[in-house]
Amino acid sequence: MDTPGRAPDTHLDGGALFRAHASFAAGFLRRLGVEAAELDDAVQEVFLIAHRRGGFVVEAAQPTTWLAEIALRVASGLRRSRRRRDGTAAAAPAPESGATPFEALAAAESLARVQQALDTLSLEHRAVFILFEIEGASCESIAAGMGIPLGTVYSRLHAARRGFQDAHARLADEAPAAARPGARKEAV
Amino acid sequence: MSKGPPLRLRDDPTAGRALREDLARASAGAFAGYDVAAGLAKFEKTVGAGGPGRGGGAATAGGKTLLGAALKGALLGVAALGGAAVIGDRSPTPVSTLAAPVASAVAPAKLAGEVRSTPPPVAVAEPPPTPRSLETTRPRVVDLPAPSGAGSASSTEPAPPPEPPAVVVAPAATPAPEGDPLAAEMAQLARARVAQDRDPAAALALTEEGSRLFPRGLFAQEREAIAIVALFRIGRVPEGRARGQAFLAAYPRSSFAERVGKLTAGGATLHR
Repeated sequence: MDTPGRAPDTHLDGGALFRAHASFAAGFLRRLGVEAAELDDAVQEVFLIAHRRGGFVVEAAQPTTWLAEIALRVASGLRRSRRRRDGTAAAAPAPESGATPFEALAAAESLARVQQALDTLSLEHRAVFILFEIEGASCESIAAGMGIPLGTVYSRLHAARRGFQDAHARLADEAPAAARPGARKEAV
Repeated sequence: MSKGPPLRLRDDPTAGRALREDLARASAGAFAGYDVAAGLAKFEKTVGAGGPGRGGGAATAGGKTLLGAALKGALLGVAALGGAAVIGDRSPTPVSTLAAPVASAVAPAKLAGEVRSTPPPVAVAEPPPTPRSLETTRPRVVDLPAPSGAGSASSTEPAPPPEPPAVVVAPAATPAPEGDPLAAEMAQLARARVAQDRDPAAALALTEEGSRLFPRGLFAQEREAIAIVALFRIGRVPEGRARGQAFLAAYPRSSFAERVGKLTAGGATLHR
């Protein structure tokens, strides 16, 4: 059944999705634990699935949360195959370029802590946490994009936050004081 | 009953400072470790070579059957979906986030042959497209407490670091393309992308060069979007607006249309 009144330009085909959201998908996949060596194929896979589904029609979800659901499935498949292979963990995404060396180091340490804390979460909890806390998506968009009730988003987010905060606190305690973000002003 | 969206941890003063700072850093900027141009070329080659076509209509946000298949029904049944989603405020901006070096992207050839009629290389169960009749079902909002205090979900992005002039990309002339023209175009476009934030004039010059070198190139649309943004950034607003309007007329469904439209309509509100 067609949706009455749907504007024709609210449809994004695979190519348009790729242009606009490949960076998002790549970053999301890396945070889900996809290794750098797997990233290219994984991104291709996400958008080929999106293409097979006929692209995206802007309705309740956003393209990013819709793609995130696909990416979660791809990451889950990769994780299963990797676990069978060797079980290595993914490295943190590379920090942005353009900062001073010290800022780059501090950013890299931050990203590493975030990634390590994320790695303690289940994929489902991790996905919701990333989308809400890092990508800035709304809970409603996450629910619509991932195909879960809003209450489930809240409950996953609640559990994910608890796990993330616990893990982050442990990691921050382990980090040497000089490497913590608050110490960076001394060197700039 | 909790009202309003939950507060993000990076904005929550009750969360630890280190945690908030780490999350703010993780949230700042788009992921730059992926070469979108190379990936797009590979994707379009795959699709254009007879890759998997549309599976019976456009997918939409509903997708209630999708996660159920993926996660084997854990936690979910046939919950109703939809609802008035608010756009994620960190959706990547197509023009400004494509700053990865082209050379890093090597396109393994295995995918192209596999996707035509077989399942993807990773074991992902792909359910059939969601029937449209199910997609308009509104969500049953469960009355659960929000994870954190109710407050504004808006976040304050940390200011980008000062940009060192030493890394400004000079608009050096690119030699005429040799060998693989697609690779040459991607490399040339990558230089324009890298330049666009730090030196928009150079980015503009590179887009013009790209148009000369690749008049029938694959990335004309993206090149023009970069040029339009650059024109606004260097203050050539009327020209930017005129080209923006032409862009919107030529590519009304472009993924860059939203940003170009905002620039064209609003003028000088540029953000990175």
